[in-house]
Order: sequence, then C-alpha cells, then structure tokens
Amino acid sequence: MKLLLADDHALFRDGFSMIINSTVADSQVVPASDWNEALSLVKQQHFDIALLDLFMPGTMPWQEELSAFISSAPRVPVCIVSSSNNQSHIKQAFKLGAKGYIRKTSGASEIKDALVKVANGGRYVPNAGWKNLPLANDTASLKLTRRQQEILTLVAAGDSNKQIGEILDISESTVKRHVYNLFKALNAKNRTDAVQIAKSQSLLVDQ
Amino acid sequence: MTSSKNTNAGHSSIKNLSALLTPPQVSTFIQKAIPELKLGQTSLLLSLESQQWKTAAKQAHKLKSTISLFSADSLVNSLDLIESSHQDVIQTANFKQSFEAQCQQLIDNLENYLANS
Repeated sequence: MKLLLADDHALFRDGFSMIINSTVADSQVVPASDWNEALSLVKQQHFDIALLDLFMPGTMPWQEELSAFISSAPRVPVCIVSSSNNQSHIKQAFKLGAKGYIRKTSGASEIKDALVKVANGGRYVPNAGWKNLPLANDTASLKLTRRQQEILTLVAAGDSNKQIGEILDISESTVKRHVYNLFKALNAKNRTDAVQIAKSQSLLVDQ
Repeated sequence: MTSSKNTNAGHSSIKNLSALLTPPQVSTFIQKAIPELKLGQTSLLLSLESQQWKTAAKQAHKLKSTISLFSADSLVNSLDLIESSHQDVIQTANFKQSFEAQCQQLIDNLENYLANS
C-alpha cells in the first residue's frame, strides 16, 4: 500500500511513518509537509490513500485546500489525521469528501483498521458517537453541491465574486450563477443571510 | 526540577511504542523527540506566563502531535485545555505547575529509557 502522509510536523511524520510501516504490511509512506507539496505529489504519483493533516501551511483556508486536493485526485481516498477533536471541523472535512478520520492518539490496531477500510473504499470514523457524520455525496440533505460549498466558504470569508473567480479559476459570471443558485438552495436573500443560514445548519465552519 | 507524583506517562507510552517499533526505532524516535519536547515546553510556558493565549494554543496543538505518539493522556488533556483557551483553568498557578510537572515527568522517563537502553 502506497500512502501519502502530509503533515507539517516533521517529528510526527517520522513517528507515524514508523508506526504505519510496522502495522501495515508492504506499506510505502511518501511524506509531504504542506498542502502545496501534497497536491503536487498526488498529481505526479499514484497513491492508495492520502493521510492529511488539516492545519498544514497553505495558500487558502483548509476547506478550500482539501476541496482542491480531492478534486485533483478524486480516486485517491482521503483520510484526515489530526490531534483535533473539534467535531465541526471533522464534519466539514467529511462533507468535503474525506473518507476517514484518524486521531493522532490512536493505537496501532485503530490505525490499521482505518487505513484498510478507507483504502478499500470504506469509511472510517473513530467511535460510535460520530457514525452520523454526513457523506460527501449527501448533497440532497445538505442542499449544496461541492462547488457551492467552496463558494459559500469564500463568501463567508468576505471575498467578492471577482476574488472568488480568481481563487477558483472560473469567470466572475460563473461565480454569480453559483452564488445565485447558492442563495436559492439556502433560501437566502443576500450574502450575509446565506452565511447566517449556513452557520445555523452547520454547513459552514469558522476556521 | 519538578516531578509529578501521579504521572506515569513516560513508562506507559514507551511500552506502547515498544509494542509497535523495534528498540532501535524507539530510541531513534525518542532522541529526536526530547529536544522538541523541551523546546515546546519552554515556549509554551513562556506564552502562558505572558498570557499570549493564541500563541499558546498554536504551540499546544503542535506539541500535542509529538506527545500523542507517546499516549500521555493527562498531558494531552492539559494541552487540549490550552489549545481551546480555557482561560479560567489555564491561567491558574496550579494548572501551570501541574502542566510543567507532567512535561518534565515525560521527559525524565524518556531520558531514563535512553540511559538504560
């Protein structure tokens, strides 16, 4: 199994790589230290699974980095590795398409379990209390497409349509159409209203 | 040097790592971890002293990555409190003393492991 392990903390990468190598047979761990390097590697090489820390250095908020990563390599299952127990962050990651979440405090058997499940197309959450996390494809219940979620995050960050277009590399008129559809899906009157509604429905997480 | 009377973080965590890794791997990892733990502890205590809560929260998050590999639960709990900026707890003298003792206990145990390996 070939794994991408992206975390800005070198000592953690070393230790976690050793644990993976000792618990998963024939594993090869390729390290990355930030979002940019992770994205670059996943575009160049095949991986069976990508293990990503959410709070690595990057050029965008982690929600957008994660979304961009998943869009660039839709066939590579993503598993978040984090020391955070912030459930709203985890929920947001699952909504954006992550397939698993491994706590950095996990034991070897849990790590192995998670890796095998996610690499084989399954989904892994660390305990029974989190089994109701949303799936990325649950757009009906979330009302929003992945693109709308990206745009919502940027709207909430205060970006203009022009800025959003530049960030997502799409035209301003396309952004306007997405924003219109976003308002419609949320039944919102304007940007402020959309952000408030999204927060009330846990569709948006403050970084 | 302060020492916690009820923290057994070092021994249990070394046992956990030892179950996963070979002794040379454990030693190599501990050798790398000790300087980082010492630096992290010192920086974090300075931030707490100067009431730089945001900086302390970031430092706690980073330190937790290393410490989580040792499964030092009580120390991880303290770092959780710092990371979530529970000021009513973390700015008390008791908390700082206890946190310092937990860190020191872990470092002492790791150094003892290296000395005896």
